[in-house]
Amino acid sequence: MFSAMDAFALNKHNTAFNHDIVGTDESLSVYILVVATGTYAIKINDLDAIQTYHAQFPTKGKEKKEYKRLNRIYNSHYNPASGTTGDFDDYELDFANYIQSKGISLYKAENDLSGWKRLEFDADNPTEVKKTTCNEN
Amino acid sequence: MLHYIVQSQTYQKGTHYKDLDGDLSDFVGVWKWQNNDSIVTIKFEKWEDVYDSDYNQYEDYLVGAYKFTVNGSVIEDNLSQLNDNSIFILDHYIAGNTILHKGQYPKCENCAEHQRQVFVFFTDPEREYLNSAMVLRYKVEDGVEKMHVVFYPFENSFLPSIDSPNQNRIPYGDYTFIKQ
Repeated sequence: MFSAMDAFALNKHNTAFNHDIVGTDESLSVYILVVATGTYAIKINDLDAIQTYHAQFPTKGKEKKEYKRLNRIYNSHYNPASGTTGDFDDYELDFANYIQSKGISLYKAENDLSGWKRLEFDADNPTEVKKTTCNEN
Repeated sequence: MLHYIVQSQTYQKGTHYKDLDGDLSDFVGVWKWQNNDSIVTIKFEKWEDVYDSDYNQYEDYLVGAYKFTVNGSVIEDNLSQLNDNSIFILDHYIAGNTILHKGQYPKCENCAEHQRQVFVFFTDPEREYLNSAMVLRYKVEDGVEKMHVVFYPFENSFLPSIDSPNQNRIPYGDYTFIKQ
């Protein structure tokens, strides 16, 4: 799953290559992650929010601390007795929760890149990600 | 091991992440790797009860510094940084405390079933934009203390320009250090 470093890198990419172009859509900056269970993407949906969030971590060490914070949650799914990690539903939920109010949105597609859905944390149903088919937006 | 309390996305304020089983302690000391004319020396200390004011938490950390020489020429020497405790803990060039089990990435086929590994962040001060890490595995062979290091890029790195190197001056790879 994506990490805090991916969120920071996405903002840096957008700032370096996109931000100074008047009228450019920041959502054009997209990171894609291909795994066995599907294809994930993140993009910026609120430039002010991601910049405000990123500004809280002004040094590499502070970025690492934030990386560690999310990774600690990911690692909590590992069962040392069985040697099994969490499944992707766990990580989707963790990351969707993590990116709340941070100006980033998470998407998932099928292996053939069809059927894109937006995945969001739903406080009313916090054990399951809310999935919205993109074509219906 | 470092005992964590993690509930959902919360990061428990007031928690003390303590190295109760001394997993970090195995690595404390000076370690040396040499291959032909290249030498890497790493010095590790264990810093206990490091306070994090953002979360009102205490954690034990493994903090390191290193010297890299090739053919007698010093490529990097930041060993003195280890004495500077004014630096934010994770801005040290080697620091971390994440305990990994045998089956977690990078998987360790040769590790004992319950052997723990320690993930530490690594920074080359001339290439701070690279996200690099070392996973440390401690072993005693024939009475010699050894530290196997898996050195790898742990995440997406944003290169500041197309010409920026995508490797540290110490190359990624597997290394076996000997305790000095």
